[in-house]
Amino acid sequence: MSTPYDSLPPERFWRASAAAPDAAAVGFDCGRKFGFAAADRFATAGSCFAQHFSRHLAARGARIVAAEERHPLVPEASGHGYGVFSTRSGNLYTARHLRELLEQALGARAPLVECVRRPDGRWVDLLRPRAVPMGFASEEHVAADRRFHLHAVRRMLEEMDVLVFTLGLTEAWENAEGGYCYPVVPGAVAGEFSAQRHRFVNYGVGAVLADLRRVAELVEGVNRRARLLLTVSPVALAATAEPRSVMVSSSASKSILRAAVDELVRALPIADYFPSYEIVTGPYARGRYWAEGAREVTEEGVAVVMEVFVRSRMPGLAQGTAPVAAAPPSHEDGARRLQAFLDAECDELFLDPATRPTQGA
Amino acid sequence: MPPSAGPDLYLLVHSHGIALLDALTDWRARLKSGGATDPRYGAAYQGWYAAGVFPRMPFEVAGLGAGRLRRIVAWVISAGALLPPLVTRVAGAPGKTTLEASREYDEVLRAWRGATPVVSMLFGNEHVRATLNVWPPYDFLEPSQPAVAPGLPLVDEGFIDAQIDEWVSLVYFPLAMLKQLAPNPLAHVLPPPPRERPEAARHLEKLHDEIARYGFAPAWLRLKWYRRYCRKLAERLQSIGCAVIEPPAQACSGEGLLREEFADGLSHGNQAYGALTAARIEEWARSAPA
Repeated sequence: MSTPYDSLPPERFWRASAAAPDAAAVGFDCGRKFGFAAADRFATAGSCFAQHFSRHLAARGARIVAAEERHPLVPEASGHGYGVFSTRSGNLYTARHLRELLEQALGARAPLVECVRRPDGRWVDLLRPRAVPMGFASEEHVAADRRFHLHAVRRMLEEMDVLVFTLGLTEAWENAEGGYCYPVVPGAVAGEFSAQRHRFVNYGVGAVLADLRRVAELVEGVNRRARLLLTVSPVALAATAEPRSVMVSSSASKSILRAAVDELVRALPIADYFPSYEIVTGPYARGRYWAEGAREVTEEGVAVVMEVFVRSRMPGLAQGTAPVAAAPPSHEDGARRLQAFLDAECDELFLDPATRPTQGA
Repeated sequence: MPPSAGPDLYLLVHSHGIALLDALTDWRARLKSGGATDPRYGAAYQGWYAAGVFPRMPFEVAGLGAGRLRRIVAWVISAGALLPPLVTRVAGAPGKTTLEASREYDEVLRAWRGATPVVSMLFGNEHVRATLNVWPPYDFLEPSQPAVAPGLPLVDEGFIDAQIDEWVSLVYFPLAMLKQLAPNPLAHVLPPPPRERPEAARHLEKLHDEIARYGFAPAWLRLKWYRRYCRKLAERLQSIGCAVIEPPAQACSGEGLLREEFADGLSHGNQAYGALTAARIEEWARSAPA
């Protein structure tokens, strides 16, 4: 008796996969739709995990679209926020936020400007509150820079061959009157929370899928050759506004994101998924990629994800040139580097009073 | 005014004062400044950079026109005079800076103490370097020129001001010292605005190589730097009771640039510009409190 499984390759079977000598041999990415050429230009956006993706791609020599770059008149050590993503978008945790940003950039929606003054007198764009750590000189500067940011997002869409977007959350806070979402609840990083003006939302599969479809539509409308590479951040929720355990909310959020992405990838030829979520969180890893606190991913975990990515999608790219010093670090150096690594501009840490940095620093 | 009375005006000038001196005084005849001709510099600057053309210390010249400024004492601080900086900033208590006048400046200010108005035309050329097209395209916010170029990155005004503050300090500290040591009415003449068509300049002053390499920044950006510099400088000078004399409107285009017929070299006004400036100074001196 034979079954359709009989002729399948080893990566389709759990036992064979679990016995693979390393993550790259598991075949995590064997279902890929497309690979990439060295000449392809990558645009990056998304949650804090996407920052690592972008950094490693650049370190290996991939071409990263830099639609917003530090001007020589801006000192390097000024907290300018350039170079984290392709634009100074800050973290985009939800598909809704990406959708709204693209709609503004492409003229499908009026530009949104909401800003507040920090205690140190500088101004913050509430739609990207940590994207520019030094803040802005004035309210007018926030508005003008936002116009340029939207211009840069459009340029990024036009110039890129691939948009790598890492989805992080389904929970978000929206401006009730304006009907737009924030990357982090007002009051956590800057501004003040108001129960009247701000409302909690937790997007379901249908909403995330609709947002991603709209994103794909917008991208295709401006760039016919562009492809979408979606990933789901393995980083758990720092806090939940749902009346349940953050562990349960985290599982629910990631499941929703994963399901929505799966639906989209099945439906749209331009969209594909890369399984960084499974590589880090799956049983094969046996939890070895979690940093202390079991929420963030270690540098080793990110390196493994990128190794799988490069081997599967860009075998011509430089191997093993992750931006980490090769020499074994001293304890103090290692701790400092790990802290810096974990402090990957993660707005979500501001949700937990125990980890919230001082505002207006 | 009897001839025995003191001078009608003290001038404390760098290169922008030459056009004024040409329009207002007989300095060329008095100093016989035929100095070496240098094709890099405009007619007003022949001899300017040649050592020894101007005395190291103030000298007296006569007013040319029918105005009331007949006796003028000018201190032209030329490169050739090899004078030390007028003022040195000395760090004092934490957060405090004290000013120390050079021996020459101290000597001059003690001699000038009195009621005779003092007009400064110190520095004012610094913005020219910022208006060469050295950087990738950019813009910044300036309230006096609120339009922002679409599609260009905005440089935080704090970084622009870091540069401008240095330029402002060059003028501010010597004049702050003057206000400390002498009660004379004091005014500073702002430099001419950027030239309408700098590419038409025959005399490229010291920037020939840089211009050949970079070219000029767009007029709106050159003007924005200039306006921010003038605004910041005026704010600081007015805070110490120094009057500020703006460029004559007749010499400026509708956009605010220096009209070609009033330009000399890259950044200076010519004698006609000096004449308009002289009229503004006369007007101020008439109303300056004794």
